[in-house]
Amino acid sequence: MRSAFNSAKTPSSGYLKDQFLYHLDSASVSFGKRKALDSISLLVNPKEILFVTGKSGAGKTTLLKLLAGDISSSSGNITRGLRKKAFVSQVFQDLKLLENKTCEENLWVSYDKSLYKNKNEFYSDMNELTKILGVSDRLDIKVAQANGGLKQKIALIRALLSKPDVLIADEPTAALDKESSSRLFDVLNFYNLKRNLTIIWATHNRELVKQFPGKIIHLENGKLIYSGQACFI
Amino acid sequence: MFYLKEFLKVLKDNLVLSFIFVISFSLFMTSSHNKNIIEKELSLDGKVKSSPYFNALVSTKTNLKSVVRKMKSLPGVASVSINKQKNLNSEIKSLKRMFGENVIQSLSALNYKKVKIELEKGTKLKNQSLIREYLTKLVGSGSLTIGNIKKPRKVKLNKDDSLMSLLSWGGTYLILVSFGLFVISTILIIKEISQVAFLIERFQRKSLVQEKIVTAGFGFLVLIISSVNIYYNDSITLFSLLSILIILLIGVGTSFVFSKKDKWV
Repeated sequence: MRSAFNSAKTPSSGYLKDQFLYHLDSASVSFGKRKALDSISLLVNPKEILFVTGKSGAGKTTLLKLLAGDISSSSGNITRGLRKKAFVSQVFQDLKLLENKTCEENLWVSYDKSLYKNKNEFYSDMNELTKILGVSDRLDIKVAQANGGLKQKIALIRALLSKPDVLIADEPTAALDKESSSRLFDVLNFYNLKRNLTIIWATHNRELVKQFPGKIIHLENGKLIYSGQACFI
Repeated sequence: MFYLKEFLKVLKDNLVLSFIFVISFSLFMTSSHNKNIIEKELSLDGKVKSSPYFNALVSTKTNLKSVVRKMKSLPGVASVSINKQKNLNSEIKSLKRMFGENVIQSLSALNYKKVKIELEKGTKLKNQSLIREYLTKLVGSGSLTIGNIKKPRKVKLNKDDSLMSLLSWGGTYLILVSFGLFVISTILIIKEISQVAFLIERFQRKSLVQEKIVTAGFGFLVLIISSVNIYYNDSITLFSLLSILIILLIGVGTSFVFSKKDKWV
């Protein structure tokens, strides 16, 4: 297995050095004999919104894990650009919330003293996000007792509160209705514009994707089928 | 401090597991530190005494320290011990059989202390009565009631007896049992720490969180327990140093086994 990120190597187009976030050059991932990703080439730039679409088992989650550095490629190159190491936050498919804690306690996981002056500043950000996403009155509910929609929103807020440079989200709207999904996309758009957040978003909802600016790649059986602007699909 | 707080939070969130962990941790360290003392305490070797003794009730008005000192210097006396002043009504009831009914009435009104005089093995009967007479002379017959001379039941134990060998290895067994519990509870605690560490690493700009939490937590416990042990024993043994090393190795080793990618169980 090769290293997930090889900083020493730069993509063939050398002028891009320090300007891109990720460059995948014919990257493949295999689990045993099964190829989950088959020779994917992709360039992800900062401040970009990239939608990854495809049916279940198409390789969306594998691609996100590869970009997050959770798994390594079996072949091909993956290069992480930008001298400054970008901080990546994730919304996991299984959310990874602490079930025996309240929603608010789960959000405090993102309280990093190096980012926030004090707890009040964090609390103010938390308050703002929970109000926008309509969960401010349900923060004292234990995650184990929360519904799927609330859990997804909490997982997303937790990721945003960590003030990431890159947000990698794996189907974060799966348990949300259309209205909630749109509101969530609006919030992310806002973060993309206001805080230069790069968003890599796996979803099977192509209709919703069409409404938003950004790039889209479509996967089928681990292969890249389509790459282009989301609004043109 | 941040990592220690996280360790304590994990302990607080898993009370039963934490209880087993802390107890086995302390027991392992303390039993390793005091292995020789425990084995000495548990061993019956040299403790089975068959020397005769007699009890005496001495009025508290008497200068007991002086009596004890003088009795100890007497040839044929092995030891003299004073029982702390108890509720004499209950004490006297228990001594009813020893001294008889007739003395109970007079004793109830007074404060007495029980003194146990142990005689050396093989002290002749004549000498035994001389010792008793000397005590009566020292205290005065009005302030003293002496019990009969007793001989404890002899227990014959050979070093080869299974009970003896079991007890002589008591310290080792205690170390092994506490070690087993410690290993199991450590694995379970580190599993819990892994989840917290995983989230902190993913949502805060921190690295090697699990390793730091384990080091801070284990180091803190080692420091506390070692300090207590050293305070009571005034020394640190090679065995206890070894136990600290084992604890730290297990902590780091278990932490290593739960690699980062499998942290979320």
